[in-house]
Amino acid sequence: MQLTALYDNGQLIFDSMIQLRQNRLPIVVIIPDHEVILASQSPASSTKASQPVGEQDANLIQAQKLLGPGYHYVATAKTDHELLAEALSEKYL
Amino acid sequence: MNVVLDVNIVLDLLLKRRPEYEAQSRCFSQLKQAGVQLWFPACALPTLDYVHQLEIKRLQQANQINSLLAPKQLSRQQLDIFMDSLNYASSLGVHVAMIPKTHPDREDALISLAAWELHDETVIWTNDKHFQSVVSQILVYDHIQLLNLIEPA
Repeated sequence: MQLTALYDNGQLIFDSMIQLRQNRLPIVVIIPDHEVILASQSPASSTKASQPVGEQDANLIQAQKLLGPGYHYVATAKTDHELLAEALSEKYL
Repeated sequence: MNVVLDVNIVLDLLLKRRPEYEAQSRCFSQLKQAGVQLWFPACALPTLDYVHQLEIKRLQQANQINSLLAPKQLSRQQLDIFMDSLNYASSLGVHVAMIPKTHPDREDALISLAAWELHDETVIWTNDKHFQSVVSQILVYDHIQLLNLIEPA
């Protein structure tokens, strides 16, 4: 289920009424890049979130975090062209 | 200078697909730090979407991805965050007529023509050794060639 919410000083306030089965549970929150102050940045010296940090790019790190902890790529024997053909056949055939 | 990323490079970076991922990631970061304009060809966005979604779905089924999001949502969110770093390079209708009849891959041809529309020196970054640019001025590099270009000797 996907909902929109307002972040207010450490609390998430959902836009619509919803009852949850548990009082405490993990959820996924998406925060716009430009609203995040990275640990290496002070508020006074904060720069655009898309700027690189050290060897790794901040946008790339943030995108990869969505894959969750312990992510590991498992290779497929298929080429990108074969994957594309498979995806297109799912969509159009 | 402009660098146009091929579909396979975006997938490599987002999903850490290849053994040389660390070098590819360093290359991407250094290009940004050097102020190089990074582009993705708009004509290749559907291909990226389809292959990325399928890869996410496969990796979730293999329990390699720990996310509550459905593959389509996860794919879209990952791409939206990453693509914030890139500009989109446009294709024109007239490009189709400029593709040689014998060209082996019309998407690659369109990517190279979109790159050609950009001002300033432009190269295409791909891991596809068979990528053929339609335009001789548009060079095709892998991450090693790009790192040689931007890293001090």
